[in-house]
Amino acid sequence: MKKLKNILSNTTYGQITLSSLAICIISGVLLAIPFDIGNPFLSISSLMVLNPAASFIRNIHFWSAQFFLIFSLIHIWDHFNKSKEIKIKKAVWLRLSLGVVIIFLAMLTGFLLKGDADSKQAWRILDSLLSSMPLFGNILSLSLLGDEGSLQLVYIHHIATITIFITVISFEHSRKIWPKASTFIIVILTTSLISFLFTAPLHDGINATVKGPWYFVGFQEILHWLSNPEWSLVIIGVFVILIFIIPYGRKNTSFLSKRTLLIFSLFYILLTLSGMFFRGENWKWIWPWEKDYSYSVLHSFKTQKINVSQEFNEVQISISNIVNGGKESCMVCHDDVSGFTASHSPQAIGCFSCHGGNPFDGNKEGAHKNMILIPGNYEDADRSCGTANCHPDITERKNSNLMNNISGMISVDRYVFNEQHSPDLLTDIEELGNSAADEHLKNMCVRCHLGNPKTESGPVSEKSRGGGCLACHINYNEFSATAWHTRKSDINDTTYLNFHPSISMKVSNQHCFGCHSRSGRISTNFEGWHETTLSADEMPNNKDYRLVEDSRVFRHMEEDVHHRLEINCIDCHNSYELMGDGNLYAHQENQTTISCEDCHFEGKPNLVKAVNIDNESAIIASMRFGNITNKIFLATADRNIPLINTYFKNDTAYFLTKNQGKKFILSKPGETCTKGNAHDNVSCSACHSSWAPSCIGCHNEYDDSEPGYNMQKNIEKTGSWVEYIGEFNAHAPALGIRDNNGKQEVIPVVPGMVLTIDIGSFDKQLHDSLIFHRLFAPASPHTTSSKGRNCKSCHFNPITLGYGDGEFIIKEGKLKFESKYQNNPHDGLPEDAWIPFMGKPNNKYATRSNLYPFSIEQQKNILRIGACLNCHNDDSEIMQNSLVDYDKVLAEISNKCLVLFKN
Amino acid sequence: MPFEVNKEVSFQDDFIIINKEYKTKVFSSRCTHLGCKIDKSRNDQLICPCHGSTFDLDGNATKGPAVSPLEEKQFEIDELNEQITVKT
Repeated sequence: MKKLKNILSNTTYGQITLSSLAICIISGVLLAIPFDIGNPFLSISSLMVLNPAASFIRNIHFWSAQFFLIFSLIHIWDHFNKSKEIKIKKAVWLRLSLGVVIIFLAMLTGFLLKGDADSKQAWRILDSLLSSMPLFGNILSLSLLGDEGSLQLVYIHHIATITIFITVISFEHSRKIWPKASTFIIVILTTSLISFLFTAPLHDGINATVKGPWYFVGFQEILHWLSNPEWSLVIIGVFVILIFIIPYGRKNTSFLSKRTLLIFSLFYILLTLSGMFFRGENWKWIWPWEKDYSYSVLHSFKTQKINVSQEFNEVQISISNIVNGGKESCMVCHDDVSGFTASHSPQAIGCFSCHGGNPFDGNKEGAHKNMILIPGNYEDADRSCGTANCHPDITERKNSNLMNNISGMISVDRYVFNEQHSPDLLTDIEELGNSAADEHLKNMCVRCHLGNPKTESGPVSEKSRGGGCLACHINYNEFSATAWHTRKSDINDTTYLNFHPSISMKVSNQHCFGCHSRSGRISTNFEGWHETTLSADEMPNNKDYRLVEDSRVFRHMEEDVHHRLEINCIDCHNSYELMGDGNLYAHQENQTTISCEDCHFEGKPNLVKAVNIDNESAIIASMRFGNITNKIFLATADRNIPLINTYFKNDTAYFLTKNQGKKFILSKPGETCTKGNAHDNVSCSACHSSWAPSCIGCHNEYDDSEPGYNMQKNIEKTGSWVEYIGEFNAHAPALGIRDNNGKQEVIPVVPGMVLTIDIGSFDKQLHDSLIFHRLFAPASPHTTSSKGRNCKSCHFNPITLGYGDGEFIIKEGKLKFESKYQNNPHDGLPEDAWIPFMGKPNNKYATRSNLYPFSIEQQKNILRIGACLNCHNDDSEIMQNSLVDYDKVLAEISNKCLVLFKN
Repeated sequence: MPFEVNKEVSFQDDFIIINKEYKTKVFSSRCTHLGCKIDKSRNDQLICPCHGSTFDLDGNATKGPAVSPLEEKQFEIDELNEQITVKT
């Protein structure tokens, strides 16, 4: 121990520097054997994965170089600090001063020789800086760096020119070639230990953050401030001059020079620390507590120790695929996995680009460290699906996607709870607080947003909610599904490792079912199923009833005609509707672009040539249907989105299903729809929705002791809102008016929120406060029938007009209404009504600010025609003529006719 | 290089090809600050990964430290073979 103490006390910074230089040179020579300058990134990644010995030598070379730099600077500081007179010839001192810069150049050329993403950008920066020097900048850059894309010249300078210069000036300065043996041994042992524990960095090619080496990060921070970065070269020049004048200036000048260097060094250390620990992607400042800090800022610190237990052999790694220009250790163990689509196979994109982990670690544990088991959730979509090489233009839209931020759901709920004045305010699930409405949302509703992560592997099922990109794009084929099920039942089974779900565009209705069998129930409506209030035990045992996975019982109704034709959800709904288009929308009908008339058009369709469509649509169209050159697509009237599964040829519009390629000829609207202008403002769904769910009589109260769930954080809790259901009915929907910026349209509406809320149960200070609302919501029932409703179904149907179920009675020339339901004590209206008979609604009546019931005048106009239909058939001449000119028909009717509301 | 007429922004080799409002422009992908290769765009902005400079789709610098616009390149499009040739 005493001997060791002696050795350490006799060791100087200069000796350590010299030892480090020797180790660096020796390890560099050894490293030249496996290193391929033609493919630097490939050769380095290969040796990291394959060859522990070569990787160890690389680490020694790296760490000894870092120590050489650090101890050179400490050595310089030590000399200046001791205030000894430096008696060196000027020429020698000039070379030593320049040598400081040359050392940095040696380090930098070594950094460039990695050939990874960091290095490539560093090459360009260096080229740009050198070229900016006046007169000889371009020549200097060419002489030092050569042509972009070839590191041959950089290699020569690194191993020869610069190394020789450094060796010569070191010898000139120290008069020694070999360091002291004892110092050398200590340094090599220390370097070896560090090299074993910490592998030299290599950029993975996926992470978007690119930075220079640690000793240049401070300089990079300075460059970031300068719009004319060539001025930074002046700093280097001043630096050299300050060092040079120290021994030769006057005492004051020398002192000033040392002080300036010290202050600048301290400042540079601060800049280095800020650049290393606070700068992330695009050199953005990121605080440690921010979400992306670890991935964006600290990724260059991720390292592993040398793997001495080889788990695969040279043959395996040599034949494994090259991915993103390098080797991945994942591929050696996982190259026998099937189930992928070609575009997302490991052969195409590797494993790391989706799953993360460490692609350069040959050890299973190390390779799997920080791996994302289920990538594609929105929380990590930016670093898996959304990297620069893949789908950044899609993931950047995720926060604006209504299916993620669920702004409409939140806003309406807060409106219903009287927490905000409008149901149309823009908000985001991330902004949920602890109010009554927000708690209600967390307990009851917000599981259905795409930001809700998929935490367990497995096929999409009726119970699936959320899952980010995977919500739509994950598919298990029969083999991967079988393997998954086998694994679920037998924890020791390992065959599942050979199968992987695919990521594809094969989006089935099943993918939509989990969330869209809730709320408006459009998934189940579409298939012809209406939810009942029956329990599983009460469900009749016949094919007219269905039990879904979450134990809800459905009764069979008329299915949507499109479903009967085996048309899927995605056949109508395009990528911008489902993944967002970057704009924020208040409600789902605003984000939706498709309308019936886009396909079932009268007259000239809205067309777009393939050459003029956006890239996303073009790619999807090509992938689904092959060569789209010269194709002409139909496009939506709203926002002109191409319907890539349509085409227009020889005056005929064709429609193809996206998953099966079934072909249809698109039909025009029926004559009743387009005859005259009587129904110009009536939407297709107003007539063609055969039924819609109509739910009434809900009561909500908060129970402090009720076992509940926080769907935002996915944790169980005590205390929850409890919903007591009323009735679930299914019949032809009521109709209302939607005002779209002055254009009015008759649309289906359903009871959105006809309910009571015991707000006092949540906020005890409100005591017995009860909220009652009668709000109807716009509906797109997805129960389209090819044959629309008959005329009386709209014109003489109390439900349609918003009065609720019941019977019209005409007595003595006057129309009366008898409701089926009792009047609600809160407002005196029938339980299922929207408005009073021939009346106006209450102040608050809809879940949208642009949705209205029929005005009294409109009710009269509708019913006046309805009275005619009591005698005249829909297809009678008089009713058909009324479509063209109703006023003329009204003027010519006989005395026998009953005309309601004459005055 | 392949020419994708539908793609608004594409990064190919050392160039950025912009198709906007039925017009095509080609820019050098070298950021005018320090020459880093611009390889991504977001919200119609081209972003330099080195120091965060941004450029609009007309090549003008919109956020520093870069101040000069991207160098615009001359090109020829072969529509039949869907190829673009950039004159360097």
